[in-house]
Amino acid sequence: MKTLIAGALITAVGFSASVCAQDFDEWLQAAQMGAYAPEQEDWEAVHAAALNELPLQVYMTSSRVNQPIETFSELYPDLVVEGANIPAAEMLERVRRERAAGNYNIGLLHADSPEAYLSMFGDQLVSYVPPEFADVIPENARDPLLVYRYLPTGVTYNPSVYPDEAPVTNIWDLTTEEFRGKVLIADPLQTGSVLTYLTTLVGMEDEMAAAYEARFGAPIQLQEDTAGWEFIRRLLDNDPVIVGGTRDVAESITNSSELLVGFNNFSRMREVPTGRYNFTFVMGLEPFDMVNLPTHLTVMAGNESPNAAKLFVRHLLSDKGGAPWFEDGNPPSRTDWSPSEEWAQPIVEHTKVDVDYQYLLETTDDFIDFWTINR
Amino acid sequence: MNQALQRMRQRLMRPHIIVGLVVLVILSALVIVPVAEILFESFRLQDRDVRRFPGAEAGQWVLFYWERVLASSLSQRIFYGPLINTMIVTVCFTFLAMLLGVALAWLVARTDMPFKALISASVVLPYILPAWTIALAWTTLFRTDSQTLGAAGFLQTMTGMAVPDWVTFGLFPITIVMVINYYAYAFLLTTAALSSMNRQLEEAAMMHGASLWTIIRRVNLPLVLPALVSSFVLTFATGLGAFGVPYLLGLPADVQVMATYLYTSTTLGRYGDAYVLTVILIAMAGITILLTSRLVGLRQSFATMTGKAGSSQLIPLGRYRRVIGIAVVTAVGIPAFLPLGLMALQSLQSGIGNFTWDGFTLDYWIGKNIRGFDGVLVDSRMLKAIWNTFFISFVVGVISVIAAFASGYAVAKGRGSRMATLIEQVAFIPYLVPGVALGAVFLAMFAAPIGPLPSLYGTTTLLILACFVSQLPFAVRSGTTAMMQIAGELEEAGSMHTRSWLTIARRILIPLAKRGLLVAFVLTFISTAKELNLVIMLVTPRTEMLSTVAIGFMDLAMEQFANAIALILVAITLLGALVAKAFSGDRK
Repeated sequence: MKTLIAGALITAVGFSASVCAQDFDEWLQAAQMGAYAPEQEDWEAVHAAALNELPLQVYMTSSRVNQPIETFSELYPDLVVEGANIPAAEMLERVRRERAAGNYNIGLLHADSPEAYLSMFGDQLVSYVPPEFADVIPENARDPLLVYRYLPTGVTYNPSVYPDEAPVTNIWDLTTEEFRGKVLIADPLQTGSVLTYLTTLVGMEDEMAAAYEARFGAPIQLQEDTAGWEFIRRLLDNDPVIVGGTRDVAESITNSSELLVGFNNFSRMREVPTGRYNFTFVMGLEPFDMVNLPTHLTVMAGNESPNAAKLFVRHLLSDKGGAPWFEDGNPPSRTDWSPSEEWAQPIVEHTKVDVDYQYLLETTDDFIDFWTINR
Repeated sequence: MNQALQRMRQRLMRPHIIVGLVVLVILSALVIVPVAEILFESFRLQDRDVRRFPGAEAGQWVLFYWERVLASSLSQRIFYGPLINTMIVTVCFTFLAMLLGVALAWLVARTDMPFKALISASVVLPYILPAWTIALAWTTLFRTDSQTLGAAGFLQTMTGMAVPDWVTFGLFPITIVMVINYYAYAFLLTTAALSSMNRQLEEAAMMHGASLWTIIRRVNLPLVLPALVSSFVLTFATGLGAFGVPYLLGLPADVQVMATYLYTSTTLGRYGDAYVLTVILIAMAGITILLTSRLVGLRQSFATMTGKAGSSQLIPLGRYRRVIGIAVVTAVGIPAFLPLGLMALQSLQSGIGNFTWDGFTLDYWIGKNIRGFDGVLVDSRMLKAIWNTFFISFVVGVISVIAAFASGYAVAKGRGSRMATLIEQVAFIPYLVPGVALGAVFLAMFAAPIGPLPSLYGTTTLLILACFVSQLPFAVRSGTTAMMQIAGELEEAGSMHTRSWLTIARRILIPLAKRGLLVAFVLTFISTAKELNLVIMLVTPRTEMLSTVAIGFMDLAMEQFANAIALILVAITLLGALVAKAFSGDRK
């Protein structure tokens, strides 16, 4: 009985420790962020203020977290930034637990699934855009959260097997008899990017219906609620090959001498010039080539190092600080950037759609259930 | 009245009762509280599901998750299917691992078979490796060009022979790889028991003309029963909770076990489902332990380490001795050293897969700036991770030995009592709580100060504490096994000379239990060094461990680094085992 009470107490303490909205507003004011962000930053003053703060703590879902920290320390040898690479699934739960327990150490987050963070932390998330980047980051990439980079995801094939043209021109081709057992999918329940990609497809119901009509010449007959859900069910009925991750998709397509297509992230293309993989993305696909999956860069309100966070965000957005990702197939949200590597050039020409945070929030769980039942 | 109180006082003041009570209090705080929270949470509406119930609030009591898991259109896929697979794997795996481990232990400890050191090393080696490495080596060896990846494995490349699909992926390879990975439990525990057994018992049987088989069946077997039970429970529970191997070898064939689905639900943020599955896993293992402890509780005590000296006569295997030795070395050596060799090769290659002389490079070990990273032996962050891993594992090992001794003593001396059973059961629970869930609960418990305790967030202390709790099952099991064999008369003899129980413990009990305690240290040290799911919730920039660094490299498809780190882990664990041997003064 005592232990039960102890358990209940701990849970209760966790829930009661959250700080109210007014405190965050005060913090924003002191840190000069959010609504209080100045038109121009005096970076020397920011630097001076940062010297009196605790070391900035950064969580990233990327294992390259230490590379920008190293280049940052060349610029500011007197500032300490501490970075940890935490897998996406753990990070959200971990930050939730930390903040529920009244721990506000974490200063900066770089993670995917912006919608999940928005719904969980709301006004504790700060989108900070340094003034020098104000003109090159579009509105939808800074509000409500700062999109740092994209993970474009689309349909891939082996260009050695199809040297002249892509084997598909319409996404509904994947549900035809020709592609029975030929579509590779990294299990969306294991691979977050594929989950978001497919859920976004479900949400583009009008576009999907129009693409169907363009492909088959007649309006779609629905058994499911929308053309989006219909696509997922027919895709699953077509015996797709479901594999563990996008790496397996790339590897299978590379090694195959026959018809195979599969969904993948553009960043896997970095292994094409090295000779490890041989695949390319379908260009000119109906209804669009790629879904542009966002990862966000967010200052956490209440932390002890807001000025260091400002300096570090500015560094991450620069060509040098962002190079570990930008040059590796994850283009930034900045409009003034273009890839310097030749293999990454096509990314500029692909048609891309953005995700809808609200829709993802409402639908992802339904998608997971739908997939589980129909698989 | 006064006399009754006096008697009660005396009863309570007996050493094993005091030790037992202390152990029980600590266990309750560290084990029962986290588990209680998981149980509670399985009945509470999680944030992300609020939208399913208009007007509901997060945290409100619901049966939603239990219904989803047990009785919905999803149940077959997320519960009953995985449950059946889990049971098949666990039963087959436990049977094979016990059979092999015990047979080898007997050969090594009780016969004059040659190459014993090599055989012991070969059995323990796969256990030292992180579970995913051997599974990875299995696919490298057996996959065929007709499977999803379209690439031939090592075997097909060399011989042109394509094994059937069920050999590469599915229940069969999961079972076999897990046996390779974990038959060390039965081997280590049984060897320790057999080695410390009084050999006069066997000699007596031999003098009466008993055959070899009769000696095994009538003398050896009953005497190692506590060790057998311990290994059975550890092995069985490992089967229930196994994640890494089914993840790599099951999912490509769409074979889910409970642990992989549990992991899936946590990665999807479906903590409600995960809590329910965790509670069910704990219940399943709890029932198993209850049944075994009842089974063994009926038997009398077999104290075999008595005050009389035993000679070291080994059972002769006769003229087949060398043949048997060579056959055994081959059988256990291949699964132990082949994956290690493949890993070493891979860490020295510039590309992944096809091994060539041209691709040979030391870059991943000592190079500079390979796609932004330095070689594992020169990178400062890596060196810190190596130190953290060693330090944390070592401290956990030491604390675990203390816990092993204390709880083993309490359980062995109070055998059959309610307290002994309770200690065993409680100590075993962490084994069944998935690492991610345990990590999350510890984070919540210790992120803020508790009374006089400061916040442990971001300290190595928190990592040590969490790892210690997750290692308790090994520690308590090994401790119990070691202490069960020490006859009470030795302690009684000691108590005639001194009134201090601590002196008796130091001068008599600890030296006698040395072997078993050493096993406890080695098991906990190794498991902590490999630990991933638990620590990933708790590491901060200052406290990164090797396993958390390695997982990042796997994500980046830089397997050379991951393989190099796995080899460093092997080196660290071997070092830990050697240090333990040196400390214990064991010359064998």
